[in-house]
Amino acid sequence: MTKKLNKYLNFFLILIFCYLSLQFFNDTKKTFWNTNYDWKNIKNVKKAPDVNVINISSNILGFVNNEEIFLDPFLTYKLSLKSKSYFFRFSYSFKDNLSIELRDLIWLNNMPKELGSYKLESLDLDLKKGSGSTLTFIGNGLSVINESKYLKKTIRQLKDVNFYGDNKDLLGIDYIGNRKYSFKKAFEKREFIPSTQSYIVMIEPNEGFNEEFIYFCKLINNLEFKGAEKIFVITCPVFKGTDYNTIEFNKLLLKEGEVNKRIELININLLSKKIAGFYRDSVNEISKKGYEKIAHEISSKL
Amino acid sequence: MKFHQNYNKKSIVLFSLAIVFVTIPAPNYNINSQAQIFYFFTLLFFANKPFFQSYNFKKVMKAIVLSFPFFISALGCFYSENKIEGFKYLLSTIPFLLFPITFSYYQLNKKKIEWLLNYFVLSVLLFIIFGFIKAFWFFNNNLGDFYFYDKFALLLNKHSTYFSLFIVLSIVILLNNWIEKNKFRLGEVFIFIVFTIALYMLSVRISFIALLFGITILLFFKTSKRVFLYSTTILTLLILIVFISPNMQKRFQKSNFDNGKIDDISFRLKHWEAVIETVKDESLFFGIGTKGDNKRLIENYKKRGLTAAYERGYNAHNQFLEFFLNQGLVGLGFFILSILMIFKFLINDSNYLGLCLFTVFITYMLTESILMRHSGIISYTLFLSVSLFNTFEKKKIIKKIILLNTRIDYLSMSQTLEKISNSIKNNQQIHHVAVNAAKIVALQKDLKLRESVNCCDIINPDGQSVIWASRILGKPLKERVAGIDLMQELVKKANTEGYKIFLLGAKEKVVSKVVSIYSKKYSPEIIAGYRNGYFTKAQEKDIAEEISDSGANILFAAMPSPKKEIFLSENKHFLKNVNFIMGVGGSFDVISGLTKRAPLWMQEYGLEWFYRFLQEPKRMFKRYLVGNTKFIFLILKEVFK
Repeated sequence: MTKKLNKYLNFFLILIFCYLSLQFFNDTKKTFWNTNYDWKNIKNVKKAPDVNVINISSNILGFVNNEEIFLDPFLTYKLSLKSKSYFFRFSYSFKDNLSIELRDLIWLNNMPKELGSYKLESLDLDLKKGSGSTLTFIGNGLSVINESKYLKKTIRQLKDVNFYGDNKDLLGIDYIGNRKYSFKKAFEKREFIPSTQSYIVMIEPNEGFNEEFIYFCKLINNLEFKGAEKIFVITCPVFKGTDYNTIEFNKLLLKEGEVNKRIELININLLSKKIAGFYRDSVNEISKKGYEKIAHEISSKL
Repeated sequence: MKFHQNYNKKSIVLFSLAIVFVTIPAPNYNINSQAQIFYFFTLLFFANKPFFQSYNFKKVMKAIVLSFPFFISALGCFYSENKIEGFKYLLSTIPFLLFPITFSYYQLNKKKIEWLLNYFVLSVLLFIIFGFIKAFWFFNNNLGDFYFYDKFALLLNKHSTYFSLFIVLSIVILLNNWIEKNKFRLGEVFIFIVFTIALYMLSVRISFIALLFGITILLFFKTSKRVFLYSTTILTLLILIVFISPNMQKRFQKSNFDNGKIDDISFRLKHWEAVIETVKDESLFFGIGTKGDNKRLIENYKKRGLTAAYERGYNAHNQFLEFFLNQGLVGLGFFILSILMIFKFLINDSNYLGLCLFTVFITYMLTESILMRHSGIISYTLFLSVSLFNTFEKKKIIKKIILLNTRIDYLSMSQTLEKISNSIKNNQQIHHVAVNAAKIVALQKDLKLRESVNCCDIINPDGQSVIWASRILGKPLKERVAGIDLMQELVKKANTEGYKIFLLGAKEKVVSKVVSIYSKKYSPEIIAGYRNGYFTKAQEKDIAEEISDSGANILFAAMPSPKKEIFLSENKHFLKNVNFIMGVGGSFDVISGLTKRAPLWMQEYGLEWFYRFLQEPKRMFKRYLVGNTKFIFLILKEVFK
């Protein structure tokens, strides 16, 4: 009986492998982030001075060189040694005379194992643009640094979307804003905000909450004017030492969320209660898990 | 249509089961879940006989024992503060319930099991090759080196620990094939090499330990002692080399700790300490409930500075502690009990491959909560269900087994009875003896006793310890055929077949009470005669002739050992008219009610001696405590001979 069944089972195995192969090529962008980069269209390759690498880890790269060097965190870099090349991006750097340490760094393909002299090049490595919908993230403060990258990354993995903006985060995803951004500044620079189908707004009030709220309303109107189909507004995270301004602003947002049907309000203080480890307690910041939860919430409505 | 013509319903069920096996290592666990559903439906629609027809007590017991994790988790759901998560987990443990039930019903022969296991091995191989191809694709496109550790596991789309588990199970199955067939093909050698490379690439420490344990047990039971010793020594050395190799050392980098880094073992110990403290704080007896509120656990991780543990919300990383955490001492106790019972079932059935596979699972449970994930649940339930309800071993025609200088017959109770009936019908004589640990110890030095025992026509194992010894020494006997049980069966048979029995031995009061009991229970007609056991050596011949002339077909001699063996051996020819003669020791005392027999559970667990020892500690001290110790020593000596 088993001999007769062999051919059917072998056929089944072939089918399974065909299916899994297709699934692998479909899902690589979700599972393997580096396949999201447009490796075939690397642009603006500029040679930088050779560097002597003295420290390598999964998120730090330290080197010394004979001449002063400026590395722009918005670009991607390539270290080369013989035939091997290692691509990386970083968030910030520490300089001490001719030695530089790049921190909050990610290796896009491999991490070099040997210390020593490497060739260094800067380049533009964009994320592949798909046929999916367009989206702009507007943020400030902690929402544009550290773990916040997982919000945009997870949305991109879950949905076929293309982010737009004039800044790039560590992963190379475009966004609008910076650490000191505010609703007022966002509104003032509204012409730089691209027209996209959806927007995610996650800004903490840097000015007085009443004034910021006025600019919030103006910004929302402007985004609608740009043709926004959906605007996601994320409330500010509340920790032990959160200031009065933010707490009051959150209250205004919650009220607005109830009456204004044009916005999709994501109340993260409610979300945080649904899962353990939403916040990184020790540093008053939303954790990777927390950002992923928000991303799932937004993706389900996109 | 053609399929229907060529294949019967059984083929469809077998095919669906094979699909479950081959999809276990598949990257997407949904495929396996769907395969399970398909299997249950085919079983439901294509089963040949009514579902509950083939059940018996032993099968039901095995199914219950294997389903313990489901029942424990169900219990924990009721008091869990996180009921939704608890019930979600409970749903994922349904295979604990379904596979034992279906396998206790759907029996497979050795050939089919081999076929299923070989296909599992093949699928593990194919998924490894699939992983290699993907790793090559990434490497070739300069997208990273995915050949090692968790990165390779990422391509396999399985947790590295679980995939290594599948590889270890496959290696054990492959090795078992080689031992069984006593040859290996080139293709199998290639598969073995691929598995070894993949295991090294994943570098999961517990996998090597589990492999060592699994193979050691397999070689111990299935090869000669020389092969066993050489192979395990070489394997141990190889694994030690693997452990100290740079690749393996690099795999176990220090873990994140609030105050810096901590080595892997210290991290794990602190981690387990946190789990135990959580249970102590919550409820020692019932734990936090299935998938219960783990805030206290996270706090305890934080208190110990275990950054990685509290950030990622680690589970207990030990299956025993996982039950302790979720269901407290009650859950842990039941789980350990289930493990012991599964070991007992496998040893009793002489299912050595099953024993090896089970040992592999238990080893993994020491560092991983394997029953918390789909891969662990399905592989555990499926492999154990196949092992417990079927046999992987060849049916050998064995007549006698030589165990510590004693030739014991490979007979069950029913076969013994059949043999006795035939001898009575053919008017032949059978001299029977039942040997227990004490008797085996005694006959090591008492050559006269040894000769009188070994000259018997049927030698049955009287004690459970003899059965265990036979299994440990790789010569498994069928079942225990206790002298008193055989006597009771023969008396019953005497009544139905018209045989006559003679009762010899014990005090007059005792033997006459036995006669009276049997006369009332059956008929006085079955008694050919009786006599107490107090007589001199000179009287033996006359007594034997008297018994022979009494018209008895069966003689039960209730005398102490070695007196009865020697009496029966020396006077066998005077007892020429008696077809069956056997010594029954203190059985008359038990039947007359003078002494009590141990409860059934004590008999099954080999504790009957302990019960008798409690009844007569002074008399039985030397026989049991000293005798049993000597018996264990003799077995150990034989093991290492």
